[in-house]
Amino acid sequence: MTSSVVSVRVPSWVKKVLDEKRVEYQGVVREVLTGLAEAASGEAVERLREAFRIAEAAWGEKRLTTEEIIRAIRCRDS
Amino acid sequence: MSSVIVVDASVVVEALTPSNHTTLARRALEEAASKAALIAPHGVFQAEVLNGFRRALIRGAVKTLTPLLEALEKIPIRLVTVDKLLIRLTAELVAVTHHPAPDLVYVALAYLTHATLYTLDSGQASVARRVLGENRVLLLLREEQG
Repeated sequence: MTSSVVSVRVPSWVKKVLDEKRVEYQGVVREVLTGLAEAASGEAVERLREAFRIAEAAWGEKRLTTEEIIRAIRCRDS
Repeated sequence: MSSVIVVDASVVVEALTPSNHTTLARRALEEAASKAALIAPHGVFQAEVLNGFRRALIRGAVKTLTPLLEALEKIPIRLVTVDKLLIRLTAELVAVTHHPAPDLVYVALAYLTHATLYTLDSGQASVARRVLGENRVLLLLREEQG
């Protein structure tokens, strides 16, 4: 099967810069290492779960889905 | 899976606000956060997430923003400086694809860091596949539209 995806040609200057490592992406490296340490320790998942819990305080009343509304109407009319 | 994952704002918005995609987004983030470093472009990410929160507020899915902002601070995504190199590559991608620049900042960041991109935006995923290749883009499918 052939792919219909046409790839974008990344500019040669980007490849040159990266290949020759003339630009050290040090800031990113530091962030990545910190992120990997958080992942390995389980801290990242813990923080995520806490974030999810905190966010739910902002949620309004549960909104009914279309299916739930239809079901409710059917029950009322039957 | 790459050890670095660039997370699009769409994933975080869906994870923190109630929608048909919340469970999917949360599951993907939890799995990613247990194995990889999560990164996003500083400034662009926060602005896009806030815009997503605004949409949730308008449609009545959330009643206040304060807990969402507190939750956002807890999310373990490392924010990366949008520097000259990132902007130059983004500009090149804008010129070639004509796709909106904010989406392409994420794509450029994934390119430069050899990362995988996680997104819920099919348009961004489509462009990203052209730049990064099929294997470095994970489109969290919107199975239940609503």
